[in-house]
Amino acid sequence: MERPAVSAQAQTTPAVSVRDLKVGYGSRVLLEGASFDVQRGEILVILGASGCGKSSLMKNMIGLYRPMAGDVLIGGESIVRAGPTEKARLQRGLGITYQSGALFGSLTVLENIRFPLDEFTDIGLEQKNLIARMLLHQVEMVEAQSRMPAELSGGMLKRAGIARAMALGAEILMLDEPSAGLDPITAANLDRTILALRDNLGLTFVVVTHELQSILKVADRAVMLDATSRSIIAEGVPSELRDHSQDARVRQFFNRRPDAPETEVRR
Amino acid sequence: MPAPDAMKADPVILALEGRVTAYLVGPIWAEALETLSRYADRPIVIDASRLESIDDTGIALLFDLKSRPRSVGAEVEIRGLAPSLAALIPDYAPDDVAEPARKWPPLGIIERAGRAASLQLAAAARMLAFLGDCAAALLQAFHRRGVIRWGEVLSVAAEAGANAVPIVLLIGFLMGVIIAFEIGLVAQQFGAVIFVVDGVGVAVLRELGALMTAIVFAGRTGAAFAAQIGTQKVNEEVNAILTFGLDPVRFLVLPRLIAAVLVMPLLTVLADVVGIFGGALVLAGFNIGFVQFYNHLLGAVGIEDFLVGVVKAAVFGLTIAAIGCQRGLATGAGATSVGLSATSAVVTSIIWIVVLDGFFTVLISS
Repeated sequence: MERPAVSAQAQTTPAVSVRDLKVGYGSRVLLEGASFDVQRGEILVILGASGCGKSSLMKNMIGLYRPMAGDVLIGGESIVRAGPTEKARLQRGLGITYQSGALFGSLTVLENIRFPLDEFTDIGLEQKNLIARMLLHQVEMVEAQSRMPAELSGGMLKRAGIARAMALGAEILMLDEPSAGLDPITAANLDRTILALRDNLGLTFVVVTHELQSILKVADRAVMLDATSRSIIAEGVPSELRDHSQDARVRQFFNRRPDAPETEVRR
Repeated sequence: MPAPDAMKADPVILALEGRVTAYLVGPIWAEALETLSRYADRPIVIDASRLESIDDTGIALLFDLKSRPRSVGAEVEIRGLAPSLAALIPDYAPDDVAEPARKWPPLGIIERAGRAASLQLAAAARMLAFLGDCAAALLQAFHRRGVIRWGEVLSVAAEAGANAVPIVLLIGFLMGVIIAFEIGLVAQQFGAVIFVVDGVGVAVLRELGALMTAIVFAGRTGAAFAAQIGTQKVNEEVNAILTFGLDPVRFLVLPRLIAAVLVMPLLTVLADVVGIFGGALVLAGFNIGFVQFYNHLLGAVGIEDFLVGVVKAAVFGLTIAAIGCQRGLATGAGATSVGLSATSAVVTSIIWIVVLDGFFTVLISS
């Protein structure tokens, strides 16, 4: 089985490069002129208010949707211009989780984690089960291995989704709202898992979220989108954006102040 | 790749080189296990000094080899592993990721039969309770204005009725053609082709018009009712209705029941008309003209034959809608449950349609 190109590229190439991307549906443009790089081993957070196009941007980055203009390079190769076979190869090199976890409802948790290994490798069944259980252990889900997805809570679904995304040894993980709707303890556990995976395995993370605590805890760098200007309005280290950004919209977001930042909001 | 080398030293050396990833680890793992089992009494040294990188599957491989129970003096030792890679190998006990023990022993045939019977009884009890709820809601609808949401009834009727017209016309027409042709071929041998008109008329009006329409209705609308309400249940819309202090039967079920009872007879009339027309078309090929067909048909069937079919259709419609809605409300959690509910709605509806048809036939004949 051919190894996805992402890991075969020189280590100096950014893991993901977004080049002048224009994202939208039909004639409705959500975002234009978006350009940024994600370096290997980096945790980049895409943030912004609800409806600003965070998840749409990610879906364009992983090749689910075709952008209106611009390009996305995965390990130096364009996923936008790639043919179906090349695109599938590039996508296999990405570990992707969706907002709902997107586990297959007819398979147990263990079978869900094993699914990509069943499809793309020739590893023996007993060994695949061990790999799946070790991945589940990593996300603290090993006890739930025999349960069906319908029996899991939202947080468990998301953690199992992360384990499945890692099964093929993806070096780039793309997580869509991983901690949305989770209780603080579960969300903190998830953040800890993300940091541990990056530190231990050197994985690259692109995380779409608007959970402030999570952003400040895990992100090396953040890219902030704005629905009104339909563009990236800030890029940098989250704590610096919070404390030193010149853009009122960025300060509003980080300081949770819906009104103009000059106006003190009574709570 | 592992390179068992038992000749040079007492321990067996297994060399791991380059990258060990999900796409490459399968044969490496198989060969390593084969080496471990072949040299069960000798120590194994895994030489990882030239290992460049591993992913989660490589970590699992090293963990597995290290954790396999071996006899004293025949342990597995990993040598030369870069500290950055060594840090990735977990230090928990193999039991932490062992296959879970089966909690319950497998059931015997008697237990399984008993469990199946009790499940069926429980399902029958739930169905009866549901029918009771429907009857109560209908009774309330007769006594109080505004209980029935007529906008919803019209919307369901349009989807289940008007949109089903093309398929009902097609099935009804083909049914008339097939019956007339099959009976016509036999009747021709006895010079009794004219009596095929009786056969087509009675069969279509009393039986097949309602029956075939009901089967189409069950597959198309019964399944849709189960899937729609099932999805609403999974999305907790049903819970939202309940916590508003409202009755899901009145909100979700009643409009569908009423719409089904209204549209099924209408669809059946259409199926009757095109079925008989199909029969007439075929019999024209057997030298029975349209006028002769019409005149003979008037003598062969009466209004009661037509009414039997229409009444049956209304009962079938009620049955299909009730089963579809009940299966929808009984949906468990997850997308799979919605699919199971839709399938169950169709299968159960068709069984009940046939049972009720038999009941009608016996009742009317006696």
